[in-house]
Amino acid sequence: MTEGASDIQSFIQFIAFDRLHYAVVVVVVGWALLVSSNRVFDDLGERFTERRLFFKQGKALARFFLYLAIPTTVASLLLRLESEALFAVAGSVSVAVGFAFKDLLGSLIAGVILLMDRPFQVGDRIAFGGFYGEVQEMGLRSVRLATLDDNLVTIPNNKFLTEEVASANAGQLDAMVVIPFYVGAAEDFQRARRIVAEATSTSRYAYLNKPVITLVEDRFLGERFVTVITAKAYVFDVRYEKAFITDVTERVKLAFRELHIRTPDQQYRDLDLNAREAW
Amino acid sequence: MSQGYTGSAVITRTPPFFLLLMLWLRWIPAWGAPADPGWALIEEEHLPQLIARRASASARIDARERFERGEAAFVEAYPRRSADALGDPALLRGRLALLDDAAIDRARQRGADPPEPLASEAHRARWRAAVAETLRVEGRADALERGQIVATLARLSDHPELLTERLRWLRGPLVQARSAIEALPGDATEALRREAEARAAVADEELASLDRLLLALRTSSPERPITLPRQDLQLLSDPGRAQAAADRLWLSLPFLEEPDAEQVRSALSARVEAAIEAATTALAEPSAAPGGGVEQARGVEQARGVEQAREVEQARLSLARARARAEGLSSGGGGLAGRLAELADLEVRLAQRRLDAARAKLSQLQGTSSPDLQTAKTQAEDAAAAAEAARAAAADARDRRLADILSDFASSSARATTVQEGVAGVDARMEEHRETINKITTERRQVEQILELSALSGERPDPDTVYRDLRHVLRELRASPALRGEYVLRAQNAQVSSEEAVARDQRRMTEAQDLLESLDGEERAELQDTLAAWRAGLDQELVTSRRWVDLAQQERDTLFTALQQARVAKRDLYPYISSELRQQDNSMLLPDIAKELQLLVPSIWSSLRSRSLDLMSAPVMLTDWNVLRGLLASSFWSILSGLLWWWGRNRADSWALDAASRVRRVRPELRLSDVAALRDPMARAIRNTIDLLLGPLLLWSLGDGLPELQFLVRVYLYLSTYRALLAGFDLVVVPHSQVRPAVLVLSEGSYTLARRTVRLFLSYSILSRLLHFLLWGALGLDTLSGLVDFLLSLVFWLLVAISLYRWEPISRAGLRRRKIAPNPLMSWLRADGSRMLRVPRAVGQLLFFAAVLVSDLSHRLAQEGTSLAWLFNVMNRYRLKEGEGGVVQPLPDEVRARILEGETPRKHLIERGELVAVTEALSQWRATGLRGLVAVVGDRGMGKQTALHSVEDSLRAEGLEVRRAQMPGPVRTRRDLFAWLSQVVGCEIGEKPEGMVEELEAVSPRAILLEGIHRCFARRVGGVNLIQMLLYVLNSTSDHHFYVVSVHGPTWDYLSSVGSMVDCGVFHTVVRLAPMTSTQLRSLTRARAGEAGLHLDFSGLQRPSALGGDPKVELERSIGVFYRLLAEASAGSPTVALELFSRCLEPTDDPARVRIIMGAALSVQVIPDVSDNALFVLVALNLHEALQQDELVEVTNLSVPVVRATVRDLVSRGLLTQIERTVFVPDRHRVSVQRTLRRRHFLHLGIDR
Repeated sequence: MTEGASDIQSFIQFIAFDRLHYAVVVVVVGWALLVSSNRVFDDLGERFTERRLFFKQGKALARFFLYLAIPTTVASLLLRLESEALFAVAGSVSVAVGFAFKDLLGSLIAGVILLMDRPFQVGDRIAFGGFYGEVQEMGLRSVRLATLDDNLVTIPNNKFLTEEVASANAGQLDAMVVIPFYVGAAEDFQRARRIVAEATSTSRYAYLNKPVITLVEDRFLGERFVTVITAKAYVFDVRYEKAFITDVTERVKLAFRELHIRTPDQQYRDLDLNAREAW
Repeated sequence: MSQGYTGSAVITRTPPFFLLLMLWLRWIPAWGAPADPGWALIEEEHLPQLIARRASASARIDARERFERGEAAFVEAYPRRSADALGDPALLRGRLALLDDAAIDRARQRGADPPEPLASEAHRARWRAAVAETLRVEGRADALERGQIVATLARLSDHPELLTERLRWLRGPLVQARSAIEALPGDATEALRREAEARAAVADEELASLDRLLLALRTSSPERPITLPRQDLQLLSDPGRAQAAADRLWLSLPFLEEPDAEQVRSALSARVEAAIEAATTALAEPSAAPGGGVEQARGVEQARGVEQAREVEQARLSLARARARAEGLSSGGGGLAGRLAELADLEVRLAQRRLDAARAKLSQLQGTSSPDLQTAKTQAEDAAAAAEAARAAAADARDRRLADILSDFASSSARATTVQEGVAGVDARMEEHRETINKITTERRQVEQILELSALSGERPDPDTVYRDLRHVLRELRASPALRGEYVLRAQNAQVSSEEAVARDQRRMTEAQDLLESLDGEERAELQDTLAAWRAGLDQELVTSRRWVDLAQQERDTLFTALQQARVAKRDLYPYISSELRQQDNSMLLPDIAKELQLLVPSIWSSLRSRSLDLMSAPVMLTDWNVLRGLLASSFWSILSGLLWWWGRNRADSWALDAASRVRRVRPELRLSDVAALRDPMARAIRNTIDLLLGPLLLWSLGDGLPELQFLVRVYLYLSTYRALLAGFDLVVVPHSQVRPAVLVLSEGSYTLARRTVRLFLSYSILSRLLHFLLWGALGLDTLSGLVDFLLSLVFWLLVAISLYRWEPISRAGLRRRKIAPNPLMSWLRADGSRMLRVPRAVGQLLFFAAVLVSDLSHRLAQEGTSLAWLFNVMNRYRLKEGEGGVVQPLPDEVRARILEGETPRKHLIERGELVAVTEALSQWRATGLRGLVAVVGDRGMGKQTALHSVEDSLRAEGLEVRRAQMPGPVRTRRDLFAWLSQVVGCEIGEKPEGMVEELEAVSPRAILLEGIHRCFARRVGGVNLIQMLLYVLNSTSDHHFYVVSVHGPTWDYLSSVGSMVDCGVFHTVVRLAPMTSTQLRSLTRARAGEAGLHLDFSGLQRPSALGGDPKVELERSIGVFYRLLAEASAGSPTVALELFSRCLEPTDDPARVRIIMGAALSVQVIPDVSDNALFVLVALNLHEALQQDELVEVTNLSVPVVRATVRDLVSRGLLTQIERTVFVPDRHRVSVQRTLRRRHFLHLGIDR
């Protein structure tokens, strides 16, 4: 205890109280910068929608930088860093504190690596650990993910270094969406494919600067032989990913209904009925 | 890898972040610093040895210095040297050689590496310092010994009677007497033995006294004078010891001070007189033969003893004679020496008589009494005596020569010692300089830290402290004689002296070789050793003197480098020092300058002397291959640079002609005479530019070898800079009287003044650079240079004021020519007022013309359509007067309708260059009969209809039958489509596409113009079928008919992007109507207005310019700005432009005149607060041009209520117009809507257009 108290006393001698006012100014200015930069980036993102993700990432970087710079500046102002003496004092204190903050430190370092390595960025839709959603914020300690059911999931940064993460749009506004449709194996797949292509291309959400692709494939699903028509297209804004899927699906289903293109269930049900009737 | 990030092993050992960061920042370098085991070993083993050596040498120095002061005995100062060695020059020279070897060894140690490898530079420096200190102390001890030996050799050469071999006659009998007891036979009686013991004891005492005396005589100095030998004076009265005492007194006599010498002389004289009397009496008596009864052996012994006694007397006689000669006396001629010589002569004669008697007795004993034998023996003895005398005389002369040689050798050694001391002095000073250099290095590092770190950083050194240290160091360096070259000169002078002295000594050595021939035995060997040592010493002296010069030069160069570094650091630090220190510096300005000037002349003088010595030694240096090689290499580059320079200057004229010809190619309106007139100024500019470019190359090639030539080249470069810039001015600016192309043409007066101003500032610039180079660079006068720079800066402002004063009348006249709205500022600027205010007025006029220049430049850039034209448009917008609150009083509707709906007269129709492609496609169709299918694409209102009018006219002119129709409203069924098509073409309707194709081919070929085919398209499932069908039909019949269709631009972009559904590639030619330029829009609006009977009044557009200027030019610029803004707001669409234009018209009192006012219509803003659904609706309407509400529902796939509500909202905001059930975006909002959609990323097709 005496040793600890003497350590703390020795540590206090390294605090430069004459520079306290500078430190206060730095904190105030830093806070103001933080608030104003958030607002500016948000405004810019709204104003220049095509660069929305870029401004979000800029906001994350600015926040990260300010969160690092402000305490470091304050520490360099307030502490008289004379190597030998501080080394002597810090030894006994640092080990105890180290155990308490090890995870925090790991997350912090992981945050720096995430910003540099950029497996994803703010605004991306990512899938991680069973969660899928939009990255709202990349902080010093954690990443905040807004899921499609409007949950805000907080994931520590260091988790991303050890597990796989998938990004749907990787910093771009547009993202590919894959929409499968199932028709009976005996249906007119060409017409069905054309309908799917038209429905995808004519959707109000479709991003036509990138190609719309439709694929046809026969598959066994359960005990049924079905034709799968997959539409692969880009939505112009990743926010509308699910709306895009909905829109295309609605159009396709309406068109299938009008043109009497049956789903596998419908086809097999009709076959059963026919068979029963025949029987 | 992942474990490395999150592994707990790493994290448990890692401190918390902030501490870790600080620790990492501060101590990683320290952790990385390696330990220095070598130093530990040196500290443990070698440093103590050095300390011990140093202590021992210090003790020796102390003892020797005390010996020199007479406070210590010889044996204490030189314990390892015996006193009798002091009488042997060979032994002394041998000792000198040992000292030389020790000096060489010390020099070797000085340059050797540490015994253990050391990692740290600080440790190496400490080791070197310790070694240097030890060697210095040891050197000092050896220097003291050397001095003592040289002094002794000099003493021996001056007094050869002190040589050990010369004193054998004196020591011999004493040594013999001392050892007589051992020669006693075994049966000697006790009495004899006691007698022998007594004699031995006396001899011991005599020998000890003699040795003490000889030591004192050989090592005497003003600090150790010879004292009166009182004991010997007393012993003169002791008959048994008188002679020895007298001999000692006689030896010491030349070294005594006068009162003591007189006392000794009188004592000796008394004794000598008495002895002479006794000897004379004895000689007068007849010679007595030795007593009988003596056996032969005894007789031989007696004879031998007498002979020895005679030899002693002979030696004594020689010494006396030598002294007498030295005193200029002859034997017996008076003086003590003469009397002693006389006495010695008498004693010799007596001794000779006794010897004769002894020999006679011996002969008698031997029984030989033959007179012939006696005569022969006597003759032989006489001859031997004569030979002996001659040998003695020759020995004297030889001794003198030997003494001279030794003296010369001693001088040479002393001179060599001086040279060695010079070298040692340089080494010692270099140690001090090293401290200074280290100090400067430390301060430079501190300066770098000051420059890099912020003032808030705790680690930043105090600038004032560092500046003071630098100033102090600079003062010390400047005051250093080494820097002024004094030590170099001293070394050079010493070298010259050494060379002369060495040449002289070598001649003497040659003479000494002759003497060598006459010597033999020990003397010869001794002389040979002396000459060898001398020769070696001379060679060493030459080498050492050269080395001294080199070291002194190195010392000077080192100090110069240090001085330069300190000066640069001081200069860099000056902006950071406090104002108090600057004031302090300024207060010491004059003393510092005085000191600098005081040192200037000696520095220049020593530099000149050193330089002249270098030049004089140049021929010798040219024999050194390395120097020669360097000279050849630099000469090669110098010659090459010179050749390039000469070649470039010769080619300048032809290059100027080429350049002028190129100018003419770019500007073909220039005449040949203009080109010729350009040649001369271009040639001057090129020539001087070549000087500027190649001059530095020549400077570099000259290196440091010829600083004088470098300086001249540098001055020439400054002058070339002046000439090059002036030539550039002459090229760019001409007076009215000269007729040649130029950038700026001025009146004669303005041109002259401008040229004078340019020359003035160029001269100032070059002069200030030259002065700075001279003062700071060449002469090292920092303070004076700073003062001169300050004064030159004042001169600069003075020159600016003078130039403004001179220019003021001209700029005032120019200002008066501009028509500017009166205001107090302009009135003052234009007034012809007091001369005192001419300079501030000129400043104001200058700022005004700068604003005019910026304004003109922005207009020009906007007009030329650079990529920043939009920026200049925004800037220039503020030149235009806006309506009250941005609102323009609207025109009556019917007037607007006349403008909007009227037709543009044919002569004012804008020719679309793009439509040439239609003509080409027609030609190709006619030639090949293939694919006559052309699409004209453009946004709504871009002029597709007008374009098709033009196409129609041209097709008719080609003699083709033309059918033209616009697709009515939205077409949703195949039947409607084919019905319309057949109606247009004039054929039967087909049920299916193939049927339609047949029907179309059944009619005669014609040109078919179809407008708005996009109306059969809808963005929904199945919405592309009709248009695809139409394209199929048209493509199938395009060999037969020539089709020109118009398509809405966004629709075209959409259809092109969904190529799998619609094949837009069927069109042979696609003509995209480009946006109209501002000039075209101007022509269009004027034509429409004219057609509508309206006169456009732009006078209301122009805001009075604060810059004045020609009103017509300003009006024209304002009109240009207006139309550029109109082009931007309408995106080049003529329909939109007319709509917006009509909203910028204000009626006047005259119904036929309308005023143009800037209105809010030309402000294209992004629409705020638009919901996503509204944006989707707008996207759909942008794509389709116009839709009905149910179509909107299908296309957007939004619900009916949502679409209805959205449309209602947009209509209420004026963003949509609804006519019956059809909704569309009105022209005036179309650009805003598109901009909003792009900004929100809802519109992304065609974004690259």
